[in-house]
Amino acid sequence: MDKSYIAQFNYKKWHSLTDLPKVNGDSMPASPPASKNQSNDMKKCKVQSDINQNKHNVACNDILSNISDNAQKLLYNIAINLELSVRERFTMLNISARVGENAKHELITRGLVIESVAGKKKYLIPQSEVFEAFGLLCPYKNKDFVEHSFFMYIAGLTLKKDPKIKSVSLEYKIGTAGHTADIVTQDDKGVLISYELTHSKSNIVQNCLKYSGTGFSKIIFLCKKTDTLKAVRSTVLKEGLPLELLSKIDFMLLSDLLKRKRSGGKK
Amino acid sequence: MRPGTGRNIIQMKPSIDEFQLNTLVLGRPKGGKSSAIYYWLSQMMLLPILILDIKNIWRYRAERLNAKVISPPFYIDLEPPRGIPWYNWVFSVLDGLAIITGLQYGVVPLIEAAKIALQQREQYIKQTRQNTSLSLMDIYYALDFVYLSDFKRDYILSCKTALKLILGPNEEFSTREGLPLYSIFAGRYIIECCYLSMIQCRFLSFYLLNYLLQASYHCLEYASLTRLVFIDDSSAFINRPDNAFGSAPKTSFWGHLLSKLRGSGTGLIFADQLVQPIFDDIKQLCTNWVIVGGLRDTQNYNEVMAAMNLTREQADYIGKMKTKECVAYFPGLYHRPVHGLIPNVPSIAEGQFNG
Repeated sequence: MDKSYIAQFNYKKWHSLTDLPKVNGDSMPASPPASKNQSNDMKKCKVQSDINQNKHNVACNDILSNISDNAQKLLYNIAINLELSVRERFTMLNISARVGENAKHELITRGLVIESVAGKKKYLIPQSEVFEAFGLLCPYKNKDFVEHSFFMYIAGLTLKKDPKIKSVSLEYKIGTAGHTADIVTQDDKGVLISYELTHSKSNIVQNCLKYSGTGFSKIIFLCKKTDTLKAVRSTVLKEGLPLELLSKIDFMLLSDLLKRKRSGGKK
Repeated sequence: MRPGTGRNIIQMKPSIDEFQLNTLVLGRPKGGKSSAIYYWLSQMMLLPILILDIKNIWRYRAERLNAKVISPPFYIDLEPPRGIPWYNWVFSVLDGLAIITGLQYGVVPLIEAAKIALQQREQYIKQTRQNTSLSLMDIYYALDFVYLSDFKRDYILSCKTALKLILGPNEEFSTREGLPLYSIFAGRYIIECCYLSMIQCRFLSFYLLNYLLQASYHCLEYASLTRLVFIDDSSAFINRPDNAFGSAPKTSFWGHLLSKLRGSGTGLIFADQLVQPIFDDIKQLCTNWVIVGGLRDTQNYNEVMAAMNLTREQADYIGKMKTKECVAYFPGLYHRPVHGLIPNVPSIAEGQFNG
């Protein structure tokens, strides 16, 4: 068959609507190579997760049968009300601080929960096995990084309460390179805002650069501690990121976000 | 008609406007169906045509038909016809998608995802000042944004499965700019569908005809044929998807489309080998019936008799018909079925010609 009878059309390859086309001449700084400290941190995390994995590799029934009644009561409360702080839990369960602390200590020593601080509040983070023991669906997106997944989930829950926000998505895929945003919100007008949970400044530049050329109106880095926030902010400002990207970046304490109430997102 | 006597055997050359009423061409394999249609199409060289070719054989006739071949991979976006709002268009497409994939409870999250995808598109245009279209892939990814507490997780999963079935491995429906359908329907084209699954074929045909239908909403009704769509070996497009668990619904989206497309001047020709598996609404809405080379499924002669106004003697003869021998019922042309021969046409089999 004569090739002139083959129709030719100019197709445009599909890309996500959150990826904006790159402008010619826009020079992006190259992603810095992963530092030794970072790789060590990752190894430590991996080892820690392996230890946790082995520590909690017990049958679901054993988890509940080997702990006291108070601890069981507290554990159930933790599993169904993830977003509450330690003090709020004790008030809700109507137990004294001493009884509550004993139950908490029992759960921590048995490796069923992790205690973590965000701002002035302490949170109890259940391991994924706890959900299985109660027959609940584990809400963690990544079971290897329980603490990160926990804060991502409760931040998402808090954002969902904001009436201005129409939808919230966790671990949202950005582009085709395999990058994800921790939390992405969309309001009624379709404006996308991304939230990134940051625990250290080690990979902050890579985290920023993955958003270059994307359609997010704002990229907010959430830090647990004020020291971390200051360190992250100064690192980002010193790295010479493109101004267009830099103008979208903002920083926030995770505890400030978690304080949000239903009243239109105000603190 | 005097079957088998050699008398009244006429060359089957119906007038062009007869094809505005939809035509169903049936016949055994190698009976001469494609030759008959090729002959008719070659008499309509100035008419826009679109051929959906699942066997990749019409490319060898493209030159003689003055048609261009759209070979895979081709991509189709969700650009609406001129004058149709995006919202109306996308929802009509999703409606068809739900019918084709059998989606029931997942329709609401699908529509929610479509709304989100449309908003994302508006934001994209606002930020980049570049126009872009929407595709099913955008709706697929927008499902991640649908507020889960309103729906069961399974509903969203069923939506994703339905969209994945349509997108398939070839991802024909994921592009930022696809085929310019408006100009395709104004020209002569052959779309090769050989790599599409049955469900993709049904969606493709729905999408194209729905486009034609909605594009005609702003035009006056046509009394003559303005465009012809031909689906060769149409079993993947018009057959009921029966399975081991029972039979599928007997009607489909085709009934709605066929009943309204006539007013836009669009005629459809379906070529198939069996009568029984075809959707009932297609059989009822195809006014013209042609049998070329005889039929093998003798159990359904009653259905053919009723549709073609045949006597029992004439129906019995259908099984004995030879290659290129045909019985045609064009109610607008003849009030009774006629017996004829398909004129010889150049064969595409290994470059030999019988004409």
